[in-house]
Formats: sequence, C-alpha cells, structure tokens
Amino acid sequence: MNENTKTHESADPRILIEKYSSAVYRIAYSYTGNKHDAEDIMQEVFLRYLGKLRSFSSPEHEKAWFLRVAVNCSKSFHNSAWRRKIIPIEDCGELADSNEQNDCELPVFEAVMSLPPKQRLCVHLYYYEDLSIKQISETSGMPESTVKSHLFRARAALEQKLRGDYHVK
Amino acid sequence: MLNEDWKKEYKTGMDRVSPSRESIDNLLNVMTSKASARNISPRTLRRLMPFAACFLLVAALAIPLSKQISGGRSVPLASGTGGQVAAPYVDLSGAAPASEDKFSAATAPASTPSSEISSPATRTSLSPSETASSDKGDYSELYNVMSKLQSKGTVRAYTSAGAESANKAPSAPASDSAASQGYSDTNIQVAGVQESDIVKTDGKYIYSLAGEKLSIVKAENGALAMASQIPISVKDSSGRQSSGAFEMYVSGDRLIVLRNSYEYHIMAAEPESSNDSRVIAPSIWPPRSKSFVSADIYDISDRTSPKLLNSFSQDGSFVSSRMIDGVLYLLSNKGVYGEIVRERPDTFVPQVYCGAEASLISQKDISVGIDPEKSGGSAQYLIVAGIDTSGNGKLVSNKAVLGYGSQIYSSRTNLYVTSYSGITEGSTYTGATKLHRFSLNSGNISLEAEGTVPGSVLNQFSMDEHAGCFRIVTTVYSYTVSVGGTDKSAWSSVSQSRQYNSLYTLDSNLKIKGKIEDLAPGERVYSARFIGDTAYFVTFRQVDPLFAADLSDPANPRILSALKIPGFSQYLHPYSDGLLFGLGHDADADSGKAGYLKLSMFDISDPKNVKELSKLVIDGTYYSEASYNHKAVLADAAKNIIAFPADGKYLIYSYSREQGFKREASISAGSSMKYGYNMRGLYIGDVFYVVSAEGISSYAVKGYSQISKISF
Repeated sequence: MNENTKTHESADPRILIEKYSSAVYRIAYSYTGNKHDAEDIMQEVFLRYLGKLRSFSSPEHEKAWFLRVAVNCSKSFHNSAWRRKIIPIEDCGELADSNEQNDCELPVFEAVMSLPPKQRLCVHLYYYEDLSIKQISETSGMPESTVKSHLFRARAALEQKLRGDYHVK
Repeated sequence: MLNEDWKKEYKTGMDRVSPSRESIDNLLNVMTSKASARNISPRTLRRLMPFAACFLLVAALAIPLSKQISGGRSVPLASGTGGQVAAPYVDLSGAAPASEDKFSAATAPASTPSSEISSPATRTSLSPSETASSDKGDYSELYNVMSKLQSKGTVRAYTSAGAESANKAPSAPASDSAASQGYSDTNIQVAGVQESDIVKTDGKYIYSLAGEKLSIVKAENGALAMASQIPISVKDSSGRQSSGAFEMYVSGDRLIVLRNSYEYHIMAAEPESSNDSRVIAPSIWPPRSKSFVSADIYDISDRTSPKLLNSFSQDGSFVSSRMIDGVLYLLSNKGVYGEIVRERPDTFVPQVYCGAEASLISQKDISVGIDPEKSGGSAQYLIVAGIDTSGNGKLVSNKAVLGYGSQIYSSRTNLYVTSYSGITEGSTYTGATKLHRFSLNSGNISLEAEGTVPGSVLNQFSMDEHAGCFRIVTTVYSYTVSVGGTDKSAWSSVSQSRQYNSLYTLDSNLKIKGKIEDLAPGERVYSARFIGDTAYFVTFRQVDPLFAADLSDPANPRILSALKIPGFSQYLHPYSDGLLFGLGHDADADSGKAGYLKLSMFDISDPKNVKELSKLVIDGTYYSEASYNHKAVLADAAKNIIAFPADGKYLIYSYSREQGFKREASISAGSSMKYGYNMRGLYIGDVFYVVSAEGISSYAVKGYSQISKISF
C-alpha cells in the first residue's frame, strides 16, 4: 500500500495531490501504457474531485474514490471514439520511454505491460495496490469472476513470456 | 498467483513510474486556484469533449422545447463524435436560448427563494435596452483586457504590481479566542469576525444545516424542542439548480444561509474549421454550467416561522465569507469562459443579483491592476460583495478584481485575499502568492493594496494582522527541469528541487518589511498561529519543529526557538495564558510516517523556551475533521473543554497541568455518521450539545450523562 494512506491529514488539495497523484497516475499508466495519457487521466480525476469536495465520509472512502475514478477515467479514456480516431502517432508504442533505464532490468514489469489493458489493470490493483478480488470488483465494476479470470489469464501469459527467466512453480 | 519475486519486480518497475513534476505542479495550480481553466492542459480540454457531446444531445432535446416557448433560434448541432470546436453558450435555463439575442432573459437568472416564501424582489430581469445603452461604452476597456487575456491563456511570468496604494494603516486588534459568555460560538480566528458553519447557536436555539434541511431547535437546560425546519430548495423556477446550502450565520433575528447554485448550459458546435483536430477553442471550459453563490436572508424573529426576506447572489464559485457586525462579506471566483462579445457585457462582466434582478458590476468597481497581462492575470475575477443583513438585507457595495481568491484572512477592518501562481524562469519553476488588501467599513469595500510574497499559503491561520502589520508564513517549492532527447522521445527530469519555509511581515501597502527565509529545508508548513508579537508555526518531515518567531520589530523578525518533537500539529489554538494547544498526528521519528491522532499542550510562557508540557496519542484513531477544519474544534479554557469529532465519535477532553489530557466523554455518532463528519459540539451554560446530521443530543457538562435527544 501507498505509505501515505494512513496519514489522513487534510482535505487540502495539495495534500490530496501528494497522497493520491502517484496511485492515480500508476493506475492510469497500467491501463493506458503511456505517460501522456496517464497525466491527462490524472488531471481529469482531480478535476472530477473538484466537483466532489466535502463529500467523503472517511479516508478509506476517499482513497477508494480516487482509485475507482482513476479506473473509470482510464477505461473511458481508452474507449472513447475520439481517442481511437486521433491517437497521436508518437504516443503509440512509447511504453518504454518513461522507464528507458529499466528496460532490461525488469522483464516482469515489461511482461505485465505487454498484457491486454484489463489484465494489466487487474494485476496492478491486485499486486501493487494490494486490493482483494472483491475490492477490485468494486473498484473496476467488473464481476468478481471476471477479475479472477483476468488474473488467471495474466498469470498464464506471464508464465509463457517469462519462461526461462524465472522458475515457475 | 504471481510468485513473490515477480510481485517485487513489478512493484519496483511501477515505483519508477511517477507523474512528472510539471504535471503535479500544473495540477496544483488548477486545484489551488479551484477553477483556473487557464492551467488545464489542452489535452485535458480535449478529454472533456465527450462531455460536450453529451450536452449537445441534451440540447437536441431541449431546443425544440424552448423554441416553442420563446421562439428562440435553435443552433446547429454537431453530429456524432464529440464535436471538434465548441463555441458560444446557449442558455437552457432562461426562456430565450438564442445566442444572438442581445440580453436575453438568460442574463438575469432568478435566484432561488424557497418556493413557499415569496421574495420581495421583483422578478423582472434587466431590460435589454437599458443595459445596452447605459453600459455598452463603459466596459470597452475591460473588454479589451479580457479578450487579450483569453487569447493568451496562462501567463506564468509574474511581476509584483502595486496597483492602488493607500496610506491608511490597518488598525484593529487581531487577538483571538472566542468570547465565551454562557455559550460557545463557532471556533473563529479573529474576535469580532464571524465565520460561517453548519451549526450555530445564540444561547437559546441551536441551528443546524444538514442535507436539504435547516433545523431550528430550542435548547433549554438540555431539553430539546423543534421550533421549525426550513427546506432548502433544490431547484428554482428558472431551472437554476441549488447544489446545496453549505454554511450559515446567525446574527440577532437574521439567519443567513449560504448556498451554491448552477445553471446548465449547452454549447453549440461550429462546423469543423480546422484540419488540426487538436486545436480547441478556449470556450469549451467549463463544459456544462455557470455557477452562482447565494446568501438567503431569513427573518427569524419568530423562530417557529422563519421568513425568507431576500436572496443575494453573485457569479462564480464560493471562496469564503466573513461577517462583521451583521455585514456579510461574500467572496467568489468567476472565470470568463466562452466567446465574449463587446456588445454584450454580460459575457465578460461579472454580475450580482438581488432576488431575480441582475446587475453588472460597474466598471468603476472592477480593478484590472496596472498591467494585467504582465501581472499573472488570467481571464477571471475575484468578486467581493458587502451585504448588510439587517432590515430586509441590502447590497452595500461590491468589487471585482482581475484574478482569483484562494485563502482569506480578515480582521475587523481589512480583508486579505491570496492567490497562487506559478513562475517560470528559464527551466526553473517556482510560485508566488499574490495578496490583495480590501478595507471594510460597514459593507463598503475598497481595494487598497496589492502585493506578493514567494511561496504558497497553507490556510487562513498562516496569516495575521497586528498593529498595522500583516504577517504571513509560506512554503516555497522550486525545481529545475532538464529536458533532453528528440522531439519524438523527449524526456525531462527534475534535476534540482528545493523546498523551504518563510515568514514575511508587510506594511499596509503590502510591501515586504521584514523576512525570515530558508527555514526547515525540505519541510512544509503544517500549521501556524500568531499570538500578538509572536508567530508559532509547525513544519514537518520527520520530526516536528514548532518554531516561535519574534515579530515585535516587523523589519527584523527573528526565530526565538524551535522545539523538535515527534509528530506534527495541524491546528494550533491559544488555550489560555501561556498555553498553546496543538492537534495533529504522531509520527515515527525515523521514517516520518504519520500515525495516530495526537494532542499536545505547549508551554509558551517563554517563547524562547517552548516546551511540550503534555501529550496524548489517541490509539487507534487516525482521522478527524478537526485536523483540517478548525470549525470542528471546540477549545475553551474557561470551561476546560477540548472537544472534536474523530473516527465516528465525538471526543471530549479536559486538561490540567497535573494530569495532562483526560478523556471526559466519548459520544458515539450514530450509524449513518460512521466517520464523524459534520459533527459539532457546543455548550450553553452547563449543558453540552452534540450536533450531527441526524440530530442533537444533550449532556450535563458534569459527568456527561445524557439528558435528551432529538432527531432532525
């Protein structure tokens, strides 16, 4: 978990940005696979928050809200007709560029990022945000069985890709 | 599923993925300026286009209807894919949606008197000819400024502009601690300057705003009886949606409810005029609404039957408010969006509304500063109105200033408003806080001075006025970005970043007189409080230094002491002579990771040697509204009560030098108020009342045994 999740400092936007921008950005990145889209999605999530001020009943609720909206924005971003139409050429296949130094060091990360978006998202929420399958279902709006199958397929695909690099039980 | 090695490696990879400093900075600007559209990236504006598409659909349904009613012209609609360029607004709320109509009724939207109570204000709107003839010429200068600013977008270069100067020195003592004769008031910063809240009392009645309902409850020695309930209307006849009443004031026989409302707009699309689908007119933000802030004034001389007397509104979104001797000062930010038309001042001049009657703020009351384009201006206004709430209510004066408001501080005679803007010098980014000082005199507002200090302001407690001197504590963050690579695969990284804290003293012209800079590098301000000639403030990264600074010579402020203890305070409250109460969190001294809620009592009798006399860490409790909203705190030394909501309970403590903090009561908040949001405590005589969104319960101050309760 993000180490700041238990801070509950304040509804000051600056603190919220400090607390959630990375988590939101990473979800968006895990889904879209590129940093420009991730930054746009991050901004949209916080803009939506502006209209939401004062309505969180708890820090857990607050965090859950940010994760859920990050997932929603990522999904709608990816799906929009506009997006499909005008995806800028330089945005395609630029996955590596934000971590160009790590390419060779982190085959697992690379392998995860090469999975289909929904599988990536489930892997990210499960392994990075440490959410349970139930929580992933609540956050993403996918049924639990779908989440399970995404995770199962992701694992199978990763085993394929990483065979030789790692010993798989 | 994945084995541990994989998991670790994925985490390591993902940890390296983080948003660029620039995008965070941009976000910060947007968030702290609340609605500074100019800072939103063009990419995000494009992202909002699907919203525009939705509203075009709404338009498609709505326009034939309004056509029938008013004969307004429909507007060609773009088909399909979320429109390329969106241009002028069409207003759905009024009766005349046609964008070509000069001064349609839409320019004078009615405010929202609740339905069963009639408003004395006439429901006639500004007549087209009247406005057009009287005001057309007056605003031409403003039109020129606005059109330049609009085309310019964010201006990041920042120069200090001392616009209008005045030699009037601020007077008024700025001492604190709320008056406590018999009953407790909202926890305010400056004596005699009221702050709005969700719960109020006048010693006989308790007023509570919860949901869409305002309840007035008679409280007599713990017995509770409902006097009346007022529904806060959600929608008015002209379609203005009320997005909720949020806070209120009680002043004698007047009750003032503050509320936001908004109108839907739709945008008409222009045919695609450019091959470059990335070019978006600046007019698409916001995609759907125009917002207003309103103050409804009720006559409550008969508590069982409140009557709505009047309703004042102004354009924009709520910034803050204060009330001094029955005069309400209401602040809002209004962005100028959409196409502006010289002949239609309502497209670029902010408006105020008395009841349903709209009027444009006159040119003489709008200040654009010396060089708006260079002074960090963008196409938005800060609006300040002074409303006398006695009698039937009267708008005394209003002012608009180019810019926006973020945090405000008010003494009894001066109102200070801050706004933050980024500064770019080459590849170095930092920011500054712009200050406006308005003098306040029974509702008459005048802009007296403008100034600027480096860094950003945490909240109202970071500011103070004392003996003609304005003092402010800020956190400065600056960083340098290195850029490399080619156009197609550019990279950027933050090569140098610096964060530190500063204290400034300013004269009445808002010129810096004295300063202490470079305090606590790497940390930021978590709380501040000024007590007479001494400033106390807390910065934090791993341990909490509580600084005490001597400001008795404003030209030479100096640090007296810095007390380092684990954890940090997020709110500081002068408790009694020589004592300062701090509410915050405990923290791990090595990692700086924040822990449970913590109460501290500091001995400040010798500012050169501040000591933590006592502390209490509330095990298992992380969260309290009190850590960011001072109004949730009740701290009263005379009654020896320190109380606040936390994690679904209302906690009451006492303090003594011998025993330290002692828990007197822990009152459960009820099921639907699981997290203790929107709970307030107050006392009247020897009875303590806990008010939540569900109801009120009363307790004897001695022993806190329950006397009675009532549900809303």
